[in-house]
Amino acid sequence: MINYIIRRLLILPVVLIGLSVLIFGMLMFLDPVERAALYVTSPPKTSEALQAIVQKYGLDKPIYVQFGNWLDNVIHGDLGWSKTAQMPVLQAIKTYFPATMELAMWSFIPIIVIGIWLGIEAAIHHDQIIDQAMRVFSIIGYSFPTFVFGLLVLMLFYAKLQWFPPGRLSDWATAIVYSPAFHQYTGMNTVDSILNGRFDIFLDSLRHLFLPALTLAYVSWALILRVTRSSMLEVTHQDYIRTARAKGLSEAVVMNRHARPNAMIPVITIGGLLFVGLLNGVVITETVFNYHGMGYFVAQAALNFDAISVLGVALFDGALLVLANLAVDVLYGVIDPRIRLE
Amino acid sequence: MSKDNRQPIYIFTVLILASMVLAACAGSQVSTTAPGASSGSANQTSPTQPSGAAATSNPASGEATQPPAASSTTAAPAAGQVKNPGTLIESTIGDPESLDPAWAYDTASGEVIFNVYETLLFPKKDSTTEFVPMLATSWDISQDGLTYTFHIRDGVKFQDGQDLTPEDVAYSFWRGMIQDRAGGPQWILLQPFFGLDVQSFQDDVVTKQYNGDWTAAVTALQQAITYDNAAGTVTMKLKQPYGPMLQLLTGTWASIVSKPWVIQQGGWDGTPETAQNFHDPSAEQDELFKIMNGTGPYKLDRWAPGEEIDLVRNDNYWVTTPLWDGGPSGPASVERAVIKIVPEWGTRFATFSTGDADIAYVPRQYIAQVDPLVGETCDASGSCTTTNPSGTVRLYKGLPSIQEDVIYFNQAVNTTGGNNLMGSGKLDGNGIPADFFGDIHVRNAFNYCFDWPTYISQIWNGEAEQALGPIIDGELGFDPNQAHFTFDLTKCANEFKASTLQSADGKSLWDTGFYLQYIYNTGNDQRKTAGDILAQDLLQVNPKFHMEVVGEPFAVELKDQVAGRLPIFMLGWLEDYHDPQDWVFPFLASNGTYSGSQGFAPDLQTQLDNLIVQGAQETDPQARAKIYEQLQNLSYTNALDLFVDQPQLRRYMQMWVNGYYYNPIYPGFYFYSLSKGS
Repeated sequence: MINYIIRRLLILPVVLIGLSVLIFGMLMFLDPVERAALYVTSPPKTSEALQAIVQKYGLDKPIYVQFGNWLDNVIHGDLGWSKTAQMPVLQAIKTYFPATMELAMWSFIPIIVIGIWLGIEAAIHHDQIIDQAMRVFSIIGYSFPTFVFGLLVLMLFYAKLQWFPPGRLSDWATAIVYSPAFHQYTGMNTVDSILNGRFDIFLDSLRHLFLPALTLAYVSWALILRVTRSSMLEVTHQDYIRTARAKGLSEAVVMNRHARPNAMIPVITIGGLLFVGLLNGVVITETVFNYHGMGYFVAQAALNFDAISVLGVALFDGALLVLANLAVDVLYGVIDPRIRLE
Repeated sequence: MSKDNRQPIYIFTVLILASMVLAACAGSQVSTTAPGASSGSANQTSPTQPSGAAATSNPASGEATQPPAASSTTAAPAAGQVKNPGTLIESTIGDPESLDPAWAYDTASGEVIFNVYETLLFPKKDSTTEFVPMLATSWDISQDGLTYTFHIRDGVKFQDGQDLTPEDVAYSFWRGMIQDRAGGPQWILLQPFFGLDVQSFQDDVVTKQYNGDWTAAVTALQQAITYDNAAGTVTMKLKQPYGPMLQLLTGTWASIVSKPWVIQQGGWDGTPETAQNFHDPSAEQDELFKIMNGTGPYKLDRWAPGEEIDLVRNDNYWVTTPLWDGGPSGPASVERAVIKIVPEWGTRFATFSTGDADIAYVPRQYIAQVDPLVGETCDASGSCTTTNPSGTVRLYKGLPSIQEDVIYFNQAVNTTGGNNLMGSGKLDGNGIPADFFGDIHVRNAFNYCFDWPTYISQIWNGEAEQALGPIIDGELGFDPNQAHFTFDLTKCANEFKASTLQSADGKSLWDTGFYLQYIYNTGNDQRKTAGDILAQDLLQVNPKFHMEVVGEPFAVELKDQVAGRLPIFMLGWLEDYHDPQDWVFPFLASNGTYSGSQGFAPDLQTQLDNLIVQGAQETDPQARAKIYEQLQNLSYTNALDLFVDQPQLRRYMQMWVNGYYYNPIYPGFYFYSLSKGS
């Protein structure tokens, strides 16, 4: 197990180098002037001004020189300056990741809990009315374009009812959170507010999280629900389930003790990937709800051709993905003792 | 048993839902009972930057989606009830690039800077040509127009408590000019002191005028701008008389910073020997990138890049008597001013319709969604009429802008390495030669083929006027009776027939036809529509005339434009300072932003350059007007560009926002003049 983990961790630097080489390689297709456009908001007075910008940021140097410089800085812990975020890339990640983490957590809980529950219900009531209803419910959610659903709930619950506003905090709460009296331990407002004993701020941030979490949950439920259902159906047709029933166990024990745990393996795989997906940032949901997290940041960076920001985020996401997959693999072993990581 | 086992899931789910519902209720109570007056901040800003301006054409901030729900179904704030009193929230697009007045050159930065820092003089209320003393109490200009002496105001304090001195004033100008970052605003100040052809301190002053000697160049600068703390004066000696001088001293680049404070932050100490180290910093290397210490009515509280800028009232503000009759005085009426950056229109609209945003930037394509909320409609002079008694929003419309949209012709297209924007590159019916627009008849024809009435009504709902040349309405040298093109398909056809261009086998342009690509920056639908209208009319004149309308991302268009590869393209121009000089230079000068790569005929170019220099050096307004009228007319008789429109803007704000007036040369909202109340 330890060996396995170490072997997987050793892959990490290879993945990261591969990622950055790939992205830098793509930069070769951009003209230096195109990359300089990041630093100007309008056509400069003279083309000399543009050339000066190209030289200042070394955009006309050979791509391997640029890569070497960048790599050298990265090894020394400097991911560069993000023009998009107007702060160092590392600080941008530190700023935006907690927001995304918070949203991922608060949407992942309902996605998994409700998704699995609904999936099991659908499997137990296979082809009955409840199963059909779930199917319709989940397919609608799955096929809803995120921004349409997001804007719909925003219009209903904010513009109409004024219950759940966009953003991360109300203005009065923002003023408190960024005041010296309030200590930001994690950058996650729901966590920090409890640590600071400010339950009004906890409730305020929950109130802002509700709609984006609901949006993410609704479009993701279908996946977990369907996987749980089909996995449950498959397991319940296994011989050992028939045996369990044959020896007279109650249906509840058969389902909960024998069927359900065994049906969870694919759900964990999907769930793990889903969570990493949420952590990488959910561009549209974050944009619609003006929720400034990783997705919002990287989308802006990509639109601006902000290579340094994109690279930094890619490294971060790459590391995150490797680690999350590792965590999922380890979880398999915990859930299913038959699986041994060698 | 199975029920028992599932119970934790039920309970957990119910708990989560309950806590969120609780949060919703609790939250809404908090927001109405804990207004900004006690604890509050607020936010949001709206743009000053028009989506049509070239200067703001970064596609990243494009609007993408439209809310599905109709605005009429949204709950509007109850009349008379002011949301977030004490906090003014502007909801807008666009993040500042830097908070250093010497570095910043975009309107988003400009808006923050001009609420925190101040200049020697300031536009008188809504006037663009009259100035009131601000940090200077008065100024004298010598007979020859070369020496300006400013008497610096006594008793003004920076926000950190230090006194303003004449030394601070001189230092601020020196610091800006030696900083002169690439692509920045300092060329504006360099020209009066070092010559009209100067574009950068390093290349044009240090290298060309002082043989690379930084110390000598900075010493010269310090001799051109001197201070006398005892007499309380700052004296500026110009290289040549300069018509726009006072005008450009009102720009944010001419803001006054505190010398001791800048040095404390690690900035330049003011000695010529060390100046070079402070030249051309990147945004983040600049010591004033994210901190501010001005003399203005607001102080910077917090800048969360990409999210919001919070300003708080400067309670020790020096203005105790209004700078103009009826102007504001004393500390600002609104305690906090928050500029919120909300690029997504649907979200921005939602915060505006609920009253959480006091001011919102509404792009032209979405005005139909907001108009049902409008209760009062006002014009540029500020006179208002009630249009809908149950409306909650005040609309200012017909506000003359300081921007112009133009379709440019390139008379000598760069074909190095091939150029597919010109089709085959020959006059064979499938392309155009590089000098296609070198033919005056072709340029005339394109002008006659442009349907201004349709474009202005479709795109601007009639809220724009046809541009008559590089100089816009409201500017010295603009003549409403200037001869100009009108939409006329017969004349268009005749001009094409008169063209001398011929195909390889000797056929005329009319018989051969052409193909070319018209380029606009992706996401800018106004420019796309203008191209579509033009293309359609060309096709109507002759089915062999093909102009394809093609979008390029801003970065790609910029690359192609500076390389002179675009045969015909549309961009806008937003002026830097309110003077015709800022229009004729980019459009007509041999090294102008656009004209520099448009390939005008050499004789004409010489004539234009001479007139531009004359116009800048002339200080008598009437004589200047004559020169600029001449330039304006030359651009018409030579059909140098297709001057499309000068739009009129709209501003939307909640009815409880008072004190607003429109001044086109402000980079944004002047929060000091605004108040909140029913």
